[in-house]
Formats: sequence, C-alpha cells, structure tokens
Amino acid sequence: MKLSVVARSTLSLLQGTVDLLILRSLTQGPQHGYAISKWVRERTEGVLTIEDAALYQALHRLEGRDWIEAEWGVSDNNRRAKYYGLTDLGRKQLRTEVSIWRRYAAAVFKVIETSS
Amino acid sequence: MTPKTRRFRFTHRSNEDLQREIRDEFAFHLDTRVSELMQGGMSEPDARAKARAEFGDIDRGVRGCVTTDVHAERQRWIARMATELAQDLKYGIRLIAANPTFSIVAILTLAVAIGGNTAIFSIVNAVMLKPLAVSEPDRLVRIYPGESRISKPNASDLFERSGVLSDLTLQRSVVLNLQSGAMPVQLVGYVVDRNYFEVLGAQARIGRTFLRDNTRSDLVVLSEGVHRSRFGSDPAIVGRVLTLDGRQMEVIGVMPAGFRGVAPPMLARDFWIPLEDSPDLRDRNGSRFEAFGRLRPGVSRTQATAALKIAANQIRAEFQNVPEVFPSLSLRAVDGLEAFQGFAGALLPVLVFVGLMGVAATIVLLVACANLAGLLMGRAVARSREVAVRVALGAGRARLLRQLLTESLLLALLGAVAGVALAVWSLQFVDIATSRLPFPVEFDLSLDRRVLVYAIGLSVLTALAFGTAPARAAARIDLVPALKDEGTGIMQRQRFRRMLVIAQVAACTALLLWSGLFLRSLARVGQVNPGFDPNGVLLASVTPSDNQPRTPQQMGALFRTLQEQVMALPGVEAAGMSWAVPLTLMSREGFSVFQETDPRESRGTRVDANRLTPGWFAAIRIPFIAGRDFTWSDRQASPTVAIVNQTLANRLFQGAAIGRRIKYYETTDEFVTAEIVGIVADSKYWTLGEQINPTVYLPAQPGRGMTLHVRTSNLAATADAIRRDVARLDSTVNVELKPMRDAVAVALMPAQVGAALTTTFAGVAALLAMLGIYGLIAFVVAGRTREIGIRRAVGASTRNIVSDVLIKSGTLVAIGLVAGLALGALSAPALGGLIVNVSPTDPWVMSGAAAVVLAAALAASAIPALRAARVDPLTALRSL
Repeated sequence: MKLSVVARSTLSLLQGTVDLLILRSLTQGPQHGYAISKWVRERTEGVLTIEDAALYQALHRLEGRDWIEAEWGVSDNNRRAKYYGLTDLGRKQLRTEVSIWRRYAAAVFKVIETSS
Repeated sequence: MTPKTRRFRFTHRSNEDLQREIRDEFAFHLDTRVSELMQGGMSEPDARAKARAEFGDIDRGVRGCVTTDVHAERQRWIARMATELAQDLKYGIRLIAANPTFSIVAILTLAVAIGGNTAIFSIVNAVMLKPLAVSEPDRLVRIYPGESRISKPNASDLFERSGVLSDLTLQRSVVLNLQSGAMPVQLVGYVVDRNYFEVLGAQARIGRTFLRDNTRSDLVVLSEGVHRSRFGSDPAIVGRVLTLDGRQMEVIGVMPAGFRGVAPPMLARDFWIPLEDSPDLRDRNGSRFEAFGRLRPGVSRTQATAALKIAANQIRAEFQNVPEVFPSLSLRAVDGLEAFQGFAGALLPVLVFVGLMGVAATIVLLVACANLAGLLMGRAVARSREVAVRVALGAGRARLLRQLLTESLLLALLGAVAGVALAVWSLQFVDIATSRLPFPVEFDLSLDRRVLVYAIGLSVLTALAFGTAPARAAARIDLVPALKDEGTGIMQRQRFRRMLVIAQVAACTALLLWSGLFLRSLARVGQVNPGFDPNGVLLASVTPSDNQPRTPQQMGALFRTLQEQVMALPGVEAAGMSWAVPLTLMSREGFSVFQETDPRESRGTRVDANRLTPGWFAAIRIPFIAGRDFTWSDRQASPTVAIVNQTLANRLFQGAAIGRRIKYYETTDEFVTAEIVGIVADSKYWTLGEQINPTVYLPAQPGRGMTLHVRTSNLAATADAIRRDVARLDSTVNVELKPMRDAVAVALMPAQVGAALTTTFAGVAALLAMLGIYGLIAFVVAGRTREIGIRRAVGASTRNIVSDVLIKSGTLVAIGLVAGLALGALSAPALGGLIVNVSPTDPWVMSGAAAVVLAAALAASAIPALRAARVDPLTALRSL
C-alpha cells in the first residue's frame, strides 16, 4: 500500500503513532535506537519517517512510563549501545493501541469509501 | 561487611550524567548510520552530513530527553516513597500490635506528657494568642493618653481633630448588685457608649445590642457566662427586667460565648449598660473612660499616633484641666501581648504560675521521652537479630532507620490523640477553679487549629526525641556477632540508658520537691498569721440604688449612720469600712510615697494603700503599735492624716513615725502631704505568701465601693440584724453579706491549685521513673543471666546476688536523687509568692521527696533482683 501525498513523499506522524511504532518494533526483542529507527523506515518503505531526535525523546518518555526498559549492552559492531525492551506493561499497552488503531483506521476507510 | 545499597536505576544521577549518557546513545546512532552509508559507497563527510540531517536537532533532542528523564525519575521517586511509607506504616502497626503491653504503656505515657503540655498551651493560647472576639481586632486600638482613662470631651476632641479614626467608643468598669432571690450577687460590667458594639463589630447571640439613636438607658446586655450561670441559659431572657443596684433594667440581648468587650487579658465582664447623658459627661474634668478607636482604612498605627499627638497638644494648649500627661498619648493593641501593658503587674502571678506549670509539664514530657527511649533501646537489642537478618538480606540502613522511626511516630501520634482528649478533659478543672474567683474570667479554652498543630508538632518532636537514638542503635548493628547472638554493643547502650535513668530520677525528684513545697505550704497556709483575724468578721457590701441621686455628702451620712447603727447591735464588738478587703484579690491600690524633704524627682517608696473609716483596725484586730485610729473628723483634717504599718515606719522613719509627714501623688499632679497619726502592726494585703509591703492607710469618706467589716460574736444573728437595719434605713439599698473567713479562702487558691497540679505531674513522673528503673534493671539482669548462673554455681548466695543488683540500681538512683534535690531547691525561689512559709530546703519536704523516690526505686528494682536470685545455675550454664 503506497499513499501519495501532494508536495510530500513522507507523512508527518499523527500523535501517538510514534509510541505504537516503537512498541511494535520491540515485539521481536530488545533493540537499540538505531535499529528501531531503521526498522520503522524499512517496514513503512520510507513513507513514515521519524526524525531520530524525536524518536529518542519518545523512547525516554516510554521508559518513564515503564512501558519499555533500557539497559546498556554491546552492539553487533562491538560498541556500547543502549537497548530497549518491552515490559509487561508495554506489551499490554501495545495491544490496546493496536486495537484503537484498527478501529480508527476502519472508521476512516469507511468514510473514504462511501464518499468516493 | 557493608551492605550494597540497593540498585535504583534512576536515583542520584545528576543532569550532567544524564546528558552524557544521552549523548553517548546519540553518538552510537550517528556512527552506526555513517558506517552504513559509507558501506553504500558514500564518502565519510557526506555520510556524516546525511546522518546528522536525518537525526534532526541533536541539542534539542538531548534537552528533551533530559527533561523527560528527570520528570520520570521524580515520578518514580514519589511512587517508591509512597509504597515504602505504606510498608513502613504496615510494619509499624504490626510492631505496635505485636507488643500490646509496651505499646499501651508508651501511648499512655505519651498521652499524659503531651496532654499536660497541650493543656498548658491551651491556656497560653487562650490568654495570649487568641484574638479578641471583635471584628478586625488589629484595626481596633486602645487610646492611652499618658494614663489609662480619658474624659469624654477630651476623647471626642481627639477623634474630631485627628481625623485618623473612623470611630471612637468609650467604656468604664462598674460593679453592680443583681437582686436575685434573697442574696444579691455582685456583677462586674461596663458602662459603654451606645456605639460600643457597632465599633467593636460584635453582634448579640440572642436579642440585640444598643443602637446609636437609642435614648433609653434602663437597658442591659448580658454576657453568655452570666446568662448561663445566673439564668440557666433561659432562652426567654430578652425582655426580662432585672434589678441592678435597685434599678429596673430590661435585658435586650445576650452576647455570644467568648465575647468580653475590651477587657484586660483573662478578665471577663458580666454585662454592659449604656452610658447615660449627664452634665458630668460634658465636663473635661469629669468621669474618665477607657477609649477605643477604629483606624481609618489605610491609616497605620504610627500615622494615627502622630496625628492624635498633634491633636492632644492642641487640646492641652487650648483648655484648662487637661492632664499634663495628655500629649504623651500612645496607641495600644487590644489583644496579644501588648494588651498586658498596664495589667502585667496584676496578672504577673498568674503568668508565672502558668509558666511554672508549663515547666512541670515539660519535665514530665522529657521524662517520658527518656523512658520511652530507654524501653526502645532495650527492644533495639532484643530486635538486633531480626534487624541483622534484614540487613544481611539487603535492607538499606536508611530504610531501616525510617521504619523504626515510623513506629515511634505512630506511637507519638496515637499518644497525641489520647493526649488531646486528656487535655480537653482536664481543662474543665480550670473552669472549676476560675469559677471560685470573685471576679469573672473568660478563657476560651476550646480547641483550635493552633492547639492541634501544637499537639501534633509536639508529638513529632517527641517521636524524634525518643525514637532516634534507639533506631540508630538498631540500624547500626554489627552483623556477625548479632547473627551469632552475642549481644555486643550492649554495654554502650547500657551507658545511654543509665544516663536516662539518672535524668529521670532527677527530674521526678525535682517535681516531687515542688509538689512537697506546695503541699507543705497548703498545710501551713492555715497557720500563716495574716496579721488580722478574719474569724468572727462579717463583710457587708452596701450599695445604694442609682435611682435616688445623692450627693457624696448624703451618701457619706447614710453610710456613717449605718456603721454607727451596726456598732450598736447586740454582739457587735467593732465595725469599720475599707475600700480594699485584704486577701480577696478584689481591689488593690498602690502609689509612691516620699518623705517631706524629698525632692520631686526622687523615686519614693512604693506602698500598698487602703482607705478606711474609723474602727476598721479594731474590727479585724490589727493592733496599734503607736498613735491612734482615725476619727470621723479626720477626713476634713488639714493636713491629711495617715496611719502606716510597721514596715513603712521602720523603713522610712526607723520606727519613730508618729507626727512625721509623708507626701504622695493622688490623682492630681500635686503632692498631698499627710501627717502620720498611727502605726499599726503588719498584715497581709494581697496574698498569704507575699512579703509585707510598706502600707499607708488613709481616711475615707464612707460610701459606695466600701465594705463594712463587722466583728461580732454571732455572725448569723448580726447578718439578719444588718439586713433589717438597712431595710429600715433605706429600702432602696442593697446589701451583700459574707463571712470574711469565706472571702479570704480565695487566698488559698494558688497553693491549692499548685499542690494539685504539681502533685499530679510529680506522680506521673515518679511512675515513669519507676518504669525506667525497672526496665533498665530487668534488662541488665536478663543480659547477665549466664554470669549470675556461674556465680551461683561457684557459691554466691542469694543475698549476694540481690544486693549486687540493688547496689547497681541504687547508685544510679542516688546520683539522680542528689541532682534532683539540688535542681528542685535551686528552682524553688521561682515559685515565689505561691509558696507560703516554707523554705525551699525544708528538711521535711526534702526527706519526703527522697523517701518517695527511694521507695519507688526499691520497688522497681525488687522484681528483677528477685528474678536474678532465682536464676537456676544449671539452666543458665546449660544454655552456654
């Protein structure tokens, strides 16, 4: 699915979407910030991009809410990196956010389809 | 082994640490991206630029993350604290419930200690801190024109010329007899301007107050106190007509409880009546009043004082008969400490008394703290294993300290709750005591926020005082020996507890000494020779009605006739009138006298004074040492004549006072010179405990405000005869009769109240000290069970063991006892006039206090000593 938007090839993200993307990205296991950023870009095929500075602020915010927890570890290229992993609370939050998004998206689609 | 502090990921990180960590995190991201881009064939500078562009504003990112982290950290900290507090509370409650005996003892101890202090504070609060029950008391000022009173024209002129006051009102104390049943009752009230209640901003609780435009003067407003005590809080009181000094007055309202007009601290008033217009009121030299003004909005007291001073100067310059001191006018607050100005002398004994009781209550509190600290210290040792296990399992010391303190705090708060209840209960005795005073007093002793804050604050301080050392001792435990169950550190803790026991014994001894002094003076007070004989004397306060205007001459004649008729009654030996009745705390006059040759500037000798008609000395049997009594013609004598007491004669004239002259100021600025015609023996004037002051007696015109003293062989018959005589003489005259013996009984009150209070406090302190001694000795014995067992095994006798234990406690008690006796005796002079005829080092009191302490100490040590004696050597040794 490729969305095209006038004058922009990427979408600015809706409020709350970043949280969802981060939580989703961590379901496979703990990741450092760079990997999360890369994962988002690849999975959305470059449509949704998060400015990295904003991504990190979001990571720290989620950590403050105890949805994710952080730990310093060693990366594949043998450097010290901070890894984030989902907490039980975060997993629960992800389920909630996904279901909200599904309902939201379904509603929006319904509007689009009937009006066209 | 020092335990590792538990790892809390977000604690104790500075902003710099956070920033560094975040920059590290970002650097890793950027570096990884750069190397990835370079693998794709990009040059390093290009790759770095692209990575940075993708990343966005790094500095803003760092700042944003730091803010987020700090906020999160704070949230976590609060949450952790809340959980820990909940845990601590649960733990504390469990500890309290697990040791019900200890907890009940601790709570009761604290209840008495905190309750006593709270009760004393309530009194201080009521007397000094509570604002006067008027609206905006801080904008109401007492106008003090160099002296306490001011005539109405002078007051009105000040008000009009200064323009700094929005309102002005006047009051004057008045004593009236209320005719109720057979016996009239003396009530104290104020004659007030009609705008009085309006200016004060006070409303009646029932009915109404006076109105500015009201012209009727036969109206009266009652205080809540008199409404309750004299009229049973009758809700239908409004409209009732009372006979006050023979005059019919209609009750129009009752003021709310706590309202006492602008009376001096502590004193209350029974009623208010409106000021009647009369020529006297328009006389600059006429009746004097206390004046109160409301500051105009925006006018400060300093500004108002300046403006009023200018006006006062003008008035003094313009009119004659304005007092010389008038321009030295000042303004005073109507409540708080400033209100004591001018009354401090009269109220000082009360304040000293309350202060001393405060000290006694504080001593009890300190003893209680020492005691609880000692008991908790004992428990700290008993608990050392538990604590050691917890430390070994990773409990932080700070956390442990907090948990142990929480227990203390809980105990103290429970104690405070019980203490406040105790204080409220005990304060009813203040009401009982003050109801015996011959004048109305008003203490609003109801609980307010200030008292509650005090009680809670005190309980927190108390908890810290008794809980800190034991908690620290418990948390400081060395793990290895504690786990191996060897009580080390016990010796150290014993030293602390020994000091506490000594301090407790000393404090309780001092209090016992005080209470002994009070008790002894109470016993002696009956034997104190007041210098006169109140037995067989009848007091008659005779008050003519205001309805029949009389000139002072007519009034004098009436009273003289009355006195002469009374003297002719069968059984009457002597009679005479005086203005002040000694030892009744009712009236007191004093001024400075000078020798005839003294210059005006000299300081003079401060004397007590009284005003008499002939026969008074004979009536109450004050013997003449030299000279003669007054005669009826002395009033007109020139120069004035005076009789002095022996103290004055000795001090000023080395005893040879007859025919010598003294001079003094009366109300005017002029000296009055008086020739001494008689010297009488010394007698007590104000309290039984006082040092006798030089005293001057002056002849008085018989009349209102004088009390007739009648010596008779039959009090009851004479009382009836006087009542009949008065009725025959003038039916509008009221007479109040009372045996002098009863009237002077009020002089015993300070000693009685003092004895009751100090004995209570001392009893509590003694019980606490016993508990402290018992706790310590029992603890020592328990700790030495093995040692005692060994000694018994090698042949020590029961007597050896018991005496060993008793010597141990005896040493501590002896040190405390000596310190306490010294402390008590050294501080006793502060009790001053409250202690009558007893030396602070009275051997009976000292040995009595010592005996009580020793008996208590022996009783407290006996149980553990006997327990030590029963130690079975086999069992003790087997437990090795």
